[in-house]
Amino acid sequence: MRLRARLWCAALLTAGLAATLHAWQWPVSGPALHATFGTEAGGFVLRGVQIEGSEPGVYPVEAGVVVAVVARRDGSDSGLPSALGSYVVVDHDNSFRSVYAHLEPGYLPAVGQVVGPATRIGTVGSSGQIDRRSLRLYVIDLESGEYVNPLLLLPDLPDRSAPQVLEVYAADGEVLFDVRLLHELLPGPYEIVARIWDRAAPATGAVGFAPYSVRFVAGGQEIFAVTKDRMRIEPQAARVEPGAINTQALYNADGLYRLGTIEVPHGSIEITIIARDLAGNATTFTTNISSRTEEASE
Amino acid sequence: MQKGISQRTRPLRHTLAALLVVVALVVAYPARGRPELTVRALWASVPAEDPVLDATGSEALIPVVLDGGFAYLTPEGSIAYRGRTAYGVALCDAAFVNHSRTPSQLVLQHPDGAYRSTVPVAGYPVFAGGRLLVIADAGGAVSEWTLEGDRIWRMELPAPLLSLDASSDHLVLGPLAGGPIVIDQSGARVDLGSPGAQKHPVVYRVALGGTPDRLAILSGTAPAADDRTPDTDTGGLVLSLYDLASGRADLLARRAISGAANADALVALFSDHRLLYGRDYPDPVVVGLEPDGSLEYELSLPYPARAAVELSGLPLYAVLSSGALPDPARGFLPPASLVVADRAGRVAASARWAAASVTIAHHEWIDHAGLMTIRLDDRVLAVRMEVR
Repeated sequence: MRLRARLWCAALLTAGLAATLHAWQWPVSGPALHATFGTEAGGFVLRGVQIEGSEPGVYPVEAGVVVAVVARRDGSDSGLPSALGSYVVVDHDNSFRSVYAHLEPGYLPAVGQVVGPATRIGTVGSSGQIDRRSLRLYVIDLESGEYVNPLLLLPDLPDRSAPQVLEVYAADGEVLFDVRLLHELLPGPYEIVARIWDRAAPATGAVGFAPYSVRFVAGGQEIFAVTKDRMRIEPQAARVEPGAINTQALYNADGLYRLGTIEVPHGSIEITIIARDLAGNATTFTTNISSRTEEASE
Repeated sequence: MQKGISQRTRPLRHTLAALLVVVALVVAYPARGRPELTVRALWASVPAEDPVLDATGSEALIPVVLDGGFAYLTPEGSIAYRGRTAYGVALCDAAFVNHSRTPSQLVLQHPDGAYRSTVPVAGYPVFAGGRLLVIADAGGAVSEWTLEGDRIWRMELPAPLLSLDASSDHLVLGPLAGGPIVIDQSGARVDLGSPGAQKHPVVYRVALGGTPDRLAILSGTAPAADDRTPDTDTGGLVLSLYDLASGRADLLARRAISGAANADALVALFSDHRLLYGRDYPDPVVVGLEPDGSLEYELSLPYPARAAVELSGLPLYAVLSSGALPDPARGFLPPASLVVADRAGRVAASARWAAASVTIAHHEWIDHAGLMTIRLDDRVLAVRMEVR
């Protein structure tokens, strides 16, 4: 009886949360994705989504109160330089804080202004550190202190294209072996790195972006798994040595996924990469890596 | 007859004697009149048009940011160097760095334009407390660099930065979420304890000042404007004052304040540990607090406060305020005002202008007088202030 009551409570909570989430709207009309949550964006991991719209108006994802407004033409006006350019921050009742970045600096609301879904809060722009006119939307869950993947909260976009595993390498130090072409390696440890792109539709540009989840299995054992629904950033204490913090454990310097290290044994090992997008489209890449002897290599 | 003369001169002698006594008293105990502030215009310059003079060897250069450019001026008002910039510039008296549209690396130059070093980071540079900081990764990380291009440290941020301040001993960062972050000289994070009743405050403004460091934090969330009246508008914002002298952060005072804050809210801590903050609702004022956080005075301003500097030797404060809306009576330029007040909030001098952009470019204390350089759009004015 008690268990049943708990199950009912859980179902009701889930239904309530779903109702809340479904109330969200895209901040631009005719949205087209340009980068997804977790995409490697030139040296850093994007903590939100990059969107372009058919109209330039920007609207809040749901009703709320404007708690901060920063007006910067290009991150350079007097005051603290803003990498997000001009941006507006809105607090919502459900402890979410949404950030609308890289807006045109001219048309911005006032701090304290109550905004509804139909209140225009800005214009899509290119202010700050961004390479094209588009909106970056960030959502922060204030209760957990984490960035949330906005695609989990926004209405679904039609998407029938599966992610693609474009490149897979076994890295031995600085040397990369393309395991799609080369199926024999000397026994020993290798870091597996891969370029995995998603092509959600509708999307703009030729940019491939991060799939929702990636799983890497070697020899029947799961080595790596990531699902991009949340991102926690713990501000580390500053350190007094250069290069101390590797901020991009997910990607290497070339923007390839770091899937983990495997031991190529004497014999062979099967590796599998499974990439999935938010709509459930999946791609599976499987190959066998066999060992070869030093003599054979000579 | 002689007796008669003697009787007539006696009162004169008495008068002379009394006069001498008065003169002696005046000389011995001079009357102390009210001190007067004298403000004297020193020079004016239009750096974009005036000729650049050879100021090689000039030690004390004044850096000034202008629209679309910047200049280094000598204390006499000559232009030692000027440069153009499309996307802004960070500059201090020892170096400058041009911003770029999508930066891939930063190039530091000497005030004479000579190459100094390359900073291999894609971000926006800012000089604070004499330190070079770079905000990178779309606001997701901040790092400190030497002027020779070597990284000292780097940290990821829980949310984009709204405010930042630095001294030689501390760095304080105010992100949009997650609360303020204070780093001491050794790189260790200083615990600020509980943020009080605030659940998820936005850190609008942080300020370090005094010796040893004190820290002021303006945080909270502004109440919804629709519900706001002068009676109900209290408690949405909190000003917290910390003493950092002991190596930890000791909370000295916490005050609920009214008004809507934003990233350009004024909070300034001075060498004597007095604090000024600006409030623009219901009317623009600047509020002075004693070192213990108790209220000292309120000074009405014509427009919202933008910046304040301390003229420590006088001792006076100069508060710059400016309006956001263009004034048709002033050539459709926004109005601005500079008010010089003493520590009791009494106004000693004030001036008004109309300019799209007004900043206090530089201020210092030289030869018992304050020297202040003010930038008004493309003009730069220097004034000398002295109490006599």
